[in-house]
Amino acid sequence: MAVNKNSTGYTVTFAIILVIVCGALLATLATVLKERQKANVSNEKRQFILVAAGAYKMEELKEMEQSQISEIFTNKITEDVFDVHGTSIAKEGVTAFGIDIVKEYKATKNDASIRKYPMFKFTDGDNIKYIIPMAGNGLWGPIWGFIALGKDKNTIEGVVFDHKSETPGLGAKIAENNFQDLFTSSTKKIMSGDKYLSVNVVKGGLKNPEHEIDAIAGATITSNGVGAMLRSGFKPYMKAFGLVN
Amino acid sequence: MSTTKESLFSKKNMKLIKDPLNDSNPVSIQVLGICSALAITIMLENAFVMSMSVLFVLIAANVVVSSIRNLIPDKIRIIVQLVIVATLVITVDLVLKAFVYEVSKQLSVFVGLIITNCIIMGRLEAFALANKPGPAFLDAIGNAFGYTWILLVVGFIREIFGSGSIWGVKIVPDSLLIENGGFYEHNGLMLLSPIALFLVASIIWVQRSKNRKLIEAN
Repeated sequence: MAVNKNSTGYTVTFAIILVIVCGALLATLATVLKERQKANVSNEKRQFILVAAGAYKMEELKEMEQSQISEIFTNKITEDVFDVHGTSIAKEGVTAFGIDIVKEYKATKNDASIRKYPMFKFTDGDNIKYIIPMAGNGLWGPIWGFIALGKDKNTIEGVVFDHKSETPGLGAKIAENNFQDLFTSSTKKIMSGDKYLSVNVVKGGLKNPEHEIDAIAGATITSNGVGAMLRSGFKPYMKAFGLVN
Repeated sequence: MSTTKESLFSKKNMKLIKDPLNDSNPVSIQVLGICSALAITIMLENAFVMSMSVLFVLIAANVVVSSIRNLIPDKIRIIVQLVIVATLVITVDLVLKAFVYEVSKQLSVFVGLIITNCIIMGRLEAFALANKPGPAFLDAIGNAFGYTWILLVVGFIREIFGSGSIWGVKIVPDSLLIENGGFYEHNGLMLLSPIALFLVASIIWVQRSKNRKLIEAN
Protein backbone atom coordinates (compact mmCIF):
# COMPACT_ATOMS: atom_id res chain seq x y z
CA MET A 1 0.00 0.00 0.00
CA ALA A 2 1.21 3.44 -0.84
CA VAL A 3 -0.08 4.99 2.36
CA ASN A 4 1.92 4.48 5.52
CA LYS A 5 -0.61 2.99 7.92
CA ASN A 6 1.38 3.99 10.96
CA SER A 7 1.90 7.64 10.12
CA THR A 8 0.24 10.18 12.35
CA GLY A 9 -1.56 11.74 9.42
CA TYR A 10 -3.16 8.46 8.42
CA THR A 11 -4.11 7.61 12.00
CA VAL A 12 -5.77 10.97 12.58
CA THR A 13 -7.57 10.87 9.24
CA PHE A 14 -8.81 7.36 9.91
CA ALA A 15 -10.06 8.32 13.36
CA ILE A 16 -11.88 11.38 12.02
CA ILE A 17 -13.54 9.46 9.21
CA LEU A 18 -14.56 6.62 11.51
CA VAL A 19 -16.11 8.96 14.04
CA ILE A 20 -17.95 10.93 11.35
CA VAL A 21 -19.34 7.75 9.79
CA CYS A 22 -20.43 6.25 13.12
CA GLY A 23 -21.76 9.56 14.38
CA ALA A 24 -23.75 10.23 11.24
CA LEU A 25 -25.16 6.71 11.31
CA LEU A 26 -26.32 7.00 14.89
CA ALA A 27 -27.65 10.54 14.48
CA THR A 28 -29.72 9.47 11.48
CA LEU A 29 -31.00 6.39 13.23
CA ALA A 30 -31.90 8.31 16.37
CA THR A 31 -33.78 10.97 14.40
CA VAL A 32 -35.62 8.45 12.26
CA LEU A 33 -36.68 6.34 15.20
CA LYS A 34 -37.46 9.15 17.64
CA GLU A 35 -41.16 9.50 16.81
CA ARG A 36 -41.70 5.78 17.12
CA GLN A 37 -39.95 5.69 20.48
CA LYS A 38 -41.98 8.64 21.75
CA ALA A 39 -45.19 6.99 20.58
CA ASN A 40 -44.17 3.82 22.42
CA VAL A 41 -43.61 5.73 25.64
CA SER A 42 -46.96 7.56 25.43
CA ASN A 43 -48.68 4.33 24.54
CA GLU A 44 -47.20 2.60 27.53
CA LYS A 45 -48.37 5.39 29.81
CA ARG A 46 -51.92 5.07 28.47
CA GLN A 47 -51.75 1.32 28.99
CA PHE A 48 -50.60 1.74 32.59
CA ILE A 49 -53.40 4.19 33.37
CA LEU A 50 -56.08 1.99 31.84
CA VAL A 51 -54.73 -1.09 33.62
CA ALA A 52 -54.58 0.73 36.95
CA ALA A 53 -58.20 1.75 36.43
CA GLY A 54 -58.98 -1.95 36.18
CA ALA A 55 -60.69 -1.40 32.84
CA TYR A 56 -58.38 -3.69 30.90
CA LYS A 57 -55.76 -6.35 31.47
CA MET A 58 -52.25 -5.59 30.26
CA GLU A 59 -52.38 -8.63 27.97
CA GLU A 60 -55.49 -7.29 26.25
CA LEU A 61 -53.95 -3.88 25.72
CA LYS A 62 -50.78 -5.34 24.29
CA GLU A 63 -52.85 -6.96 21.56
CA MET A 64 -54.39 -3.62 20.57
CA GLU A 65 -53.14 -1.07 18.06
CA GLN A 66 -51.73 2.12 19.51
CA SER A 67 -54.46 4.18 17.80
CA GLN A 68 -57.15 2.02 19.39
CA ILE A 69 -55.70 2.52 22.88
CA SER A 70 -55.40 6.23 22.24
CA GLU A 71 -59.09 6.38 21.27
CA ILE A 72 -60.25 4.52 24.39
CA PHE A 73 -58.08 6.81 26.45
CA THR A 74 -59.57 9.98 24.96
CA ASN A 75 -63.11 8.72 25.49
CA LYS A 76 -62.83 7.55 29.06
CA ILE A 77 -60.15 9.60 30.75
CA THR A 78 -60.31 13.21 31.89
CA GLU A 79 -57.35 14.98 33.44
CA ASP A 80 -56.55 17.48 36.11
CA VAL A 81 -53.37 18.89 37.62
CA PHE A 82 -53.00 20.05 41.24
CA ASP A 83 -50.41 21.97 43.18
CA VAL A 84 -49.20 20.84 46.59
CA HIS A 85 -52.23 22.39 48.30
CA GLY A 86 -54.65 20.51 46.10
CA THR A 87 -55.68 23.51 44.02
CA SER A 88 -56.27 22.78 40.37
CA ILE A 89 -53.65 24.42 38.16
CA ALA A 90 -54.55 22.76 34.88
CA LYS A 91 -54.44 25.24 32.02
CA GLU A 92 -53.23 25.58 28.46
CA GLY A 93 -49.85 23.87 28.25
CA VAL A 94 -50.12 22.15 31.65
CA THR A 95 -51.81 18.82 31.06
CA ALA A 96 -51.68 15.79 33.29
CA PHE A 97 -50.63 13.56 30.41
CA GLY A 98 -47.86 15.94 29.42
CA ILE A 99 -46.21 15.71 32.84
CA ASP A 100 -43.49 13.09 32.98
CA ILE A 101 -43.91 12.06 36.60
CA VAL A 102 -40.35 10.81 37.00
CA LYS A 103 -38.81 13.95 35.51
CA GLU A 104 -41.13 16.11 37.60
CA TYR A 105 -40.10 14.20 40.73
CA LYS A 106 -36.41 14.61 39.99
CA ALA A 107 -36.72 18.29 39.07
CA THR A 108 -38.51 19.12 42.32
CA LYS A 109 -36.68 16.70 44.58
CA ASN A 110 -35.55 19.36 47.02
CA ASP A 111 -38.78 21.28 47.05
CA ALA A 112 -41.92 19.21 46.80
CA SER A 113 -44.02 22.35 47.27
CA ILE A 114 -43.51 23.49 43.67
CA ARG A 115 -44.22 20.05 42.24
CA LYS A 116 -47.18 19.56 39.87
CA TYR A 117 -49.46 16.67 40.75
CA PRO A 118 -51.31 15.21 37.76
CA MET A 119 -54.46 13.12 38.11
CA PHE A 120 -56.53 11.06 35.69
CA LYS A 121 -60.22 10.37 36.14
CA PHE A 122 -61.60 7.28 34.52
CA THR A 123 -65.34 7.30 33.83
CA ASP A 124 -67.25 4.40 32.34
CA GLY A 125 -70.93 4.81 33.13
CA ASP A 126 -71.21 4.33 36.88
CA ASN A 127 -67.64 3.17 37.27
CA ILE A 128 -65.41 6.04 38.41
CA LYS A 129 -61.74 5.74 39.31
CA TYR A 130 -59.19 8.36 40.26
CA ILE A 131 -55.78 7.40 38.95
CA ILE A 132 -52.86 8.98 40.74
CA PRO A 133 -49.36 8.75 39.29
CA MET A 134 -46.37 8.96 41.59
CA ALA A 135 -42.61 8.50 41.48
CA GLY A 136 -39.83 7.72 43.92
CA ASN A 137 -36.42 6.17 44.25
CA GLY A 138 -35.60 2.48 44.11
CA LEU A 139 -32.21 0.93 44.65
CA TRP A 140 -30.64 1.59 41.26
CA GLY A 141 -32.89 4.21 39.76
CA PRO A 142 -36.35 5.74 39.70
CA ILE A 143 -39.51 3.78 40.38
CA TRP A 144 -43.02 4.97 39.57
CA GLY A 145 -46.57 3.82 39.69
CA PHE A 146 -50.20 4.55 38.94
CA ILE A 147 -52.59 3.97 41.80
CA ALA A 148 -56.34 3.95 41.20
CA LEU A 149 -58.69 4.98 43.99
CA GLY A 150 -62.35 4.04 43.91
CA LYS A 151 -65.42 6.26 44.00
CA ASP A 152 -64.89 7.00 47.72
CA LYS A 153 -61.51 8.53 46.79
CA ASN A 154 -59.99 6.47 49.56
CA THR A 155 -59.91 2.73 48.78
CA ILE A 156 -57.17 1.44 46.47
CA GLU A 157 -58.73 -0.43 43.58
CA GLY A 158 -55.79 -0.97 41.29
CA VAL A 159 -52.05 -0.40 41.09
CA VAL A 160 -49.37 -0.59 38.47
CA PHE A 161 -45.72 -0.13 39.34
CA ASP A 162 -42.72 0.08 37.13
CA HIS A 163 -39.04 0.79 37.49
CA LYS A 164 -36.03 1.72 35.43
CA SER A 165 -33.32 -0.61 36.62
CA GLU A 166 -34.21 -2.58 39.75
CA THR A 167 -32.57 -5.99 40.13
CA PRO A 168 -34.43 -8.68 38.15
CA GLY A 169 -35.84 -11.30 40.48
CA LEU A 170 -35.57 -8.96 43.48
CA GLY A 171 -36.58 -5.30 43.32
CA ALA A 172 -37.98 -5.75 39.83
CA LYS A 173 -40.77 -7.79 41.40
CA ILE A 174 -42.63 -4.58 42.20
CA ALA A 175 -43.69 -4.63 38.55
CA GLU A 176 -45.10 -8.15 38.84
CA ASN A 177 -48.63 -9.21 39.63
CA ASN A 178 -47.72 -11.09 42.82
CA PHE A 179 -46.71 -7.84 44.48
CA GLN A 180 -49.30 -5.57 42.88
CA ASP A 181 -52.15 -7.91 43.79
CA LEU A 182 -51.34 -7.37 47.47
CA PHE A 183 -52.90 -3.91 47.12
CA THR A 184 -56.24 -5.20 45.96
CA SER A 185 -56.53 -8.70 47.44
CA SER A 186 -57.54 -7.11 50.75
CA THR A 187 -58.86 -3.61 51.39
CA LYS A 188 -56.19 -0.92 51.51
CA LYS A 189 -57.20 2.61 52.40
CA ILE A 190 -55.43 5.95 52.38
CA MET A 191 -57.46 7.63 55.11
CA SER A 192 -58.28 6.21 58.52
CA GLY A 193 -61.26 8.36 59.54
CA ASP A 194 -59.92 11.85 58.98
CA LYS A 195 -56.31 10.83 59.59
CA TYR A 196 -53.94 10.57 56.63
CA LEU A 197 -52.14 7.23 57.05
CA SER A 198 -51.58 6.24 53.44
CA VAL A 199 -50.06 2.82 52.78
CA ASN A 200 -46.66 1.67 53.95
CA VAL A 201 -44.48 -1.24 52.91
CA VAL A 202 -43.28 -3.18 55.97
CA LYS A 203 -41.31 -6.28 56.87
CA GLY A 204 -42.27 -9.05 59.25
CA GLY A 205 -46.04 -9.12 59.32
CA LEU A 206 -48.76 -6.51 59.03
CA LYS A 207 -49.86 -4.73 62.18
CA ASN A 208 -52.32 -2.43 60.49
CA PRO A 209 -53.55 -4.46 57.48
CA GLU A 210 -55.60 -1.64 55.95
CA HIS A 211 -52.53 0.56 55.64
CA GLU A 212 -49.64 -1.86 55.21
CA ILE A 213 -48.21 -4.11 52.51
CA ASP A 214 -45.69 -6.93 52.89
CA ALA A 215 -42.21 -6.01 51.64
CA ILE A 216 -40.37 -8.09 49.03
CA ALA A 217 -37.80 -10.44 50.57
CA GLY A 218 -34.29 -9.54 49.49
CA ALA A 219 -35.32 -6.17 48.10
CA THR A 220 -35.39 -3.97 51.18
CA ILE A 221 -34.32 -0.74 49.54
CA THR A 222 -36.75 -1.03 46.65
CA SER A 223 -39.55 -1.92 49.09
CA ASN A 224 -38.67 1.06 51.25
CA GLY A 225 -38.68 3.21 48.13
CA VAL A 226 -42.19 2.10 47.26
CA GLY A 227 -43.24 2.73 50.86
CA ALA A 228 -41.77 6.23 50.91
CA MET A 229 -43.40 7.03 47.57
CA LEU A 230 -46.82 5.89 48.79
CA ARG A 231 -46.56 7.57 52.19
CA SER A 232 -46.15 11.05 50.78
CA GLY A 233 -47.66 10.65 47.33
CA PHE A 234 -51.36 10.87 48.13
CA LYS A 235 -51.35 13.96 50.32
CA PRO A 236 -51.98 16.72 47.76
CA TYR A 237 -54.76 14.67 46.19
CA MET A 238 -56.45 14.12 49.53
CA LYS A 239 -56.36 17.88 49.97
CA ALA A 240 -57.88 18.29 46.53
CA PHE A 241 -60.60 15.79 47.44
CA GLY A 242 -61.27 17.69 50.65
CA LEU A 243 -60.43 14.70 52.85
CA VAL A 244 -57.44 16.39 54.48
CA ASN A 245 -57.04 20.00 55.48
CA MET B 1 -3.68 -16.56 4.92
CA SER B 2 -4.15 -19.22 2.27
CA THR B 3 -4.47 -18.07 -1.31
CA THR B 4 -6.45 -21.09 -2.46
CA LYS B 5 -10.14 -20.53 -2.26
CA GLU B 6 -11.59 -22.74 0.39
CA SER B 7 -15.24 -23.36 1.13
CA LEU B 8 -16.79 -21.34 3.95
CA PHE B 9 -17.91 -24.57 5.53
CA SER B 10 -14.66 -26.49 5.18
CA LYS B 11 -13.50 -28.67 8.05
CA LYS B 12 -11.11 -26.00 9.26
CA ASN B 13 -13.85 -23.39 9.29
CA MET B 14 -16.35 -25.62 11.05
CA LYS B 15 -13.80 -25.98 13.81
CA LEU B 16 -14.26 -22.23 14.35
CA ILE B 17 -17.84 -22.89 15.30
CA LYS B 18 -17.34 -26.11 17.23
CA ASP B 19 -14.29 -25.22 19.30
CA PRO B 20 -15.81 -22.36 21.27
CA LEU B 21 -18.68 -24.61 22.33
CA ASN B 22 -16.31 -26.80 24.28
CA ASP B 23 -12.51 -26.80 23.88
CA SER B 24 -12.10 -23.04 23.81
CA ASN B 25 -15.34 -21.88 25.35
CA PRO B 26 -15.16 -18.11 25.93
CA VAL B 27 -16.70 -18.31 29.40
CA SER B 28 -15.53 -21.57 30.92
CA ILE B 29 -12.09 -21.86 29.31
CA GLN B 30 -11.04 -18.33 28.43
CA VAL B 31 -12.99 -16.91 31.37
CA LEU B 32 -14.30 -13.93 29.41
CA GLY B 33 -17.71 -12.33 29.73
CA ILE B 34 -18.01 -13.45 33.34
CA CYS B 35 -19.42 -10.09 34.43
CA SER B 36 -22.57 -10.47 32.36
CA ALA B 37 -22.81 -14.16 33.23
CA LEU B 38 -23.18 -13.03 36.85
CA ALA B 39 -25.49 -10.11 36.30
CA ILE B 40 -28.24 -11.30 34.03
CA THR B 41 -28.72 -14.98 34.71
CA ILE B 42 -31.35 -14.70 37.44
CA MET B 43 -34.05 -15.35 34.87
CA LEU B 44 -33.72 -17.63 31.87
CA GLU B 45 -35.47 -15.17 29.60
CA ASN B 46 -33.06 -12.33 30.35
CA ALA B 47 -30.13 -14.66 29.76
CA PHE B 48 -31.58 -15.66 26.40
CA VAL B 49 -32.33 -12.17 25.12
CA MET B 50 -28.91 -11.01 26.30
CA SER B 51 -27.29 -13.90 24.45
CA MET B 52 -29.13 -13.03 21.26
CA SER B 53 -28.06 -9.39 21.52
CA VAL B 54 -24.48 -10.48 22.05
CA LEU B 55 -24.81 -12.80 19.05
CA PHE B 56 -25.87 -9.91 16.83
CA VAL B 57 -23.27 -7.46 18.09
CA LEU B 58 -20.48 -10.02 17.97
CA ILE B 59 -21.28 -11.12 14.42
CA ALA B 60 -21.62 -7.57 13.12
CA ALA B 61 -18.51 -6.32 14.92
CA ASN B 62 -16.42 -9.29 13.86
CA VAL B 63 -17.44 -8.91 10.21
CA VAL B 64 -17.03 -5.12 10.13
CA VAL B 65 -13.64 -5.14 11.85
CA SER B 66 -12.46 -8.03 9.71
CA SER B 67 -13.52 -6.21 6.51
CA ILE B 68 -11.56 -3.10 7.36
CA ARG B 69 -8.71 -4.88 9.18
CA ASN B 70 -6.18 -3.77 6.57
CA LEU B 71 -7.17 -0.14 6.98
CA ILE B 72 -7.11 0.12 10.78
CA PRO B 73 -3.97 1.85 12.09
CA ASP B 74 -2.29 -0.36 14.69
CA LYS B 75 -1.82 2.43 17.20
CA ILE B 76 -5.52 3.10 17.65
CA ARG B 77 -6.95 -0.30 16.87
CA ILE B 78 -8.51 -0.85 20.33
CA ILE B 79 -10.26 2.50 20.18
CA VAL B 80 -11.46 1.77 16.66
CA GLN B 81 -12.88 -1.55 17.81
CA LEU B 82 -14.53 0.13 20.76
CA VAL B 83 -16.16 2.78 18.57
CA ILE B 84 -17.50 0.13 16.23
CA VAL B 85 -18.86 -2.00 19.09
CA ALA B 86 -20.39 1.05 20.78
CA THR B 87 -22.06 2.12 17.55
CA LEU B 88 -23.54 -1.34 17.09
CA VAL B 89 -24.74 -1.57 20.66
CA ILE B 90 -26.44 1.82 20.51
CA THR B 91 -28.00 0.80 17.21
CA VAL B 92 -29.40 -2.33 18.87
CA ASP B 93 -30.68 -0.25 21.75
CA LEU B 94 -32.40 2.30 19.49
CA VAL B 95 -33.97 -0.34 17.28
CA LEU B 96 -35.22 -2.36 20.25
CA LYS B 97 -36.76 0.75 21.79
CA ALA B 98 -38.54 1.66 18.57
CA PHE B 99 -39.78 -1.73 17.43
CA VAL B 100 -39.89 -4.09 20.41
CA TYR B 101 -40.37 -1.70 23.30
CA GLU B 102 -41.32 -4.49 25.71
CA VAL B 103 -38.11 -6.42 25.17
CA SER B 104 -36.01 -3.29 25.39
CA LYS B 105 -37.51 -2.56 28.80
CA GLN B 106 -36.66 -6.04 30.00
CA LEU B 107 -33.04 -5.63 29.02
CA SER B 108 -32.77 -2.02 30.23
CA VAL B 109 -29.17 -1.48 31.31
CA PHE B 110 -27.90 -4.81 30.03
CA VAL B 111 -27.95 -3.73 26.40
CA GLY B 112 -25.49 -0.96 27.16
CA LEU B 113 -23.36 -3.42 29.08
CA ILE B 114 -22.74 -5.45 25.93
CA ILE B 115 -20.06 -2.85 25.16
CA THR B 116 -18.12 -4.03 28.17
CA ASN B 117 -18.48 -7.71 27.36
CA CYS B 118 -14.90 -8.90 27.12
CA ILE B 119 -15.82 -11.66 24.67
CA ILE B 120 -16.54 -9.10 21.99
CA MET B 121 -13.32 -7.15 22.35
CA GLY B 122 -11.47 -10.43 22.86
CA ARG B 123 -12.68 -11.94 19.60
CA LEU B 124 -12.11 -8.72 17.64
CA GLU B 125 -8.56 -8.47 18.91
CA ALA B 126 -7.71 -12.16 18.70
CA PHE B 127 -9.50 -13.19 15.54
CA ALA B 128 -11.20 -10.54 13.40
CA LEU B 129 -8.07 -8.41 13.06
CA ALA B 130 -6.16 -11.29 11.46
CA ASN B 131 -8.78 -13.12 9.44
CA LYS B 132 -11.15 -12.68 6.51
CA PRO B 133 -14.82 -11.77 7.09
CA GLY B 134 -16.07 -15.31 6.32
CA PRO B 135 -14.14 -17.11 9.06
CA ALA B 136 -14.69 -14.11 11.36
CA PHE B 137 -18.42 -14.57 10.88
CA LEU B 138 -18.19 -18.24 11.86
CA ASP B 139 -15.92 -17.46 14.77
CA ALA B 140 -18.50 -14.97 16.03
CA ILE B 141 -21.31 -17.52 15.80
CA GLY B 142 -19.25 -20.16 17.57
CA ASN B 143 -18.25 -17.89 20.42
CA ALA B 144 -21.69 -16.37 20.83
CA PHE B 145 -23.20 -19.83 21.15
CA GLY B 146 -20.44 -20.93 23.49
CA TYR B 147 -21.45 -17.96 25.64
CA THR B 148 -25.15 -18.68 25.18
CA TRP B 149 -25.19 -22.24 26.43
CA ILE B 150 -23.28 -21.40 29.59
CA LEU B 151 -25.66 -18.50 30.29
CA LEU B 152 -28.70 -20.67 29.69
CA VAL B 153 -27.46 -23.42 32.00
CA VAL B 154 -26.64 -20.94 34.76
CA GLY B 155 -29.91 -19.07 34.19
CA PHE B 156 -31.90 -22.29 34.28
CA ILE B 157 -30.40 -23.42 37.59
CA ARG B 158 -30.70 -19.99 39.19
CA GLU B 159 -34.28 -19.47 38.10
CA ILE B 160 -35.63 -22.86 39.11
CA PHE B 161 -33.98 -22.90 42.54
CA GLY B 162 -34.15 -19.17 43.18
CA SER B 163 -37.65 -18.36 41.98
CA GLY B 164 -39.18 -21.78 41.38
CA SER B 165 -39.98 -21.01 37.77
CA ILE B 166 -38.67 -21.62 34.26
CA TRP B 167 -38.94 -18.84 31.70
CA GLY B 168 -41.26 -17.03 34.11
CA VAL B 169 -43.65 -20.00 34.32
CA LYS B 170 -44.18 -21.22 37.88
CA ILE B 171 -42.93 -24.77 38.42
CA VAL B 172 -42.95 -24.92 42.20
CA PRO B 173 -46.53 -24.23 43.33
CA ASP B 174 -46.94 -21.50 45.95
CA SER B 175 -48.78 -23.92 48.24
CA LEU B 176 -45.54 -25.83 48.90
CA LEU B 177 -43.84 -22.78 50.37
CA ILE B 178 -43.23 -22.59 54.10
CA GLU B 179 -45.04 -19.27 54.32
CA ASN B 180 -48.15 -20.99 52.97
CA GLY B 181 -47.84 -23.98 55.28
CA GLY B 182 -45.68 -26.17 53.05
CA PHE B 183 -42.12 -27.41 53.50
CA TYR B 184 -40.23 -25.74 50.66
CA GLU B 185 -38.40 -22.47 50.45
CA HIS B 186 -36.72 -20.80 47.51
CA ASN B 187 -32.97 -20.52 47.82
CA GLY B 188 -32.30 -16.80 48.19
CA LEU B 189 -28.61 -17.31 47.49
CA MET B 190 -29.52 -18.25 43.92
CA LEU B 191 -30.80 -14.71 43.36
CA LEU B 192 -27.49 -13.13 44.30
CA SER B 193 -24.67 -12.69 41.81
CA PRO B 194 -21.92 -14.68 43.59
CA ILE B 195 -23.79 -17.95 43.10
CA ALA B 196 -23.22 -17.61 39.37
CA LEU B 197 -19.49 -17.83 40.06
CA PHE B 198 -19.97 -21.15 41.84
CA LEU B 199 -22.14 -22.42 39.01
CA VAL B 200 -19.68 -21.37 36.32
CA ALA B 201 -16.90 -22.95 38.37
CA SER B 202 -18.91 -26.19 38.59
CA ILE B 203 -19.39 -26.16 34.83
CA ILE B 204 -15.63 -25.72 34.40
CA TRP B 205 -15.03 -28.62 36.79
CA VAL B 206 -17.41 -30.98 34.99
CA GLN B 207 -16.07 -29.90 31.61
CA ARG B 208 -12.45 -30.52 32.54
CA SER B 209 -13.07 -33.86 34.14
CA LYS B 210 -14.78 -35.00 30.95
CA ASN B 211 -12.36 -33.39 28.55
CA ARG B 212 -8.90 -34.43 29.82
CA LYS B 213 -6.92 -32.45 27.27
CA LEU B 214 -8.05 -29.22 28.91
CA ILE B 215 -6.17 -30.04 32.09
CA GLU B 216 -2.88 -28.17 32.26
CA ALA B 217 0.11 -30.34 32.98
CA ASN B 218 1.77 -29.23 36.18
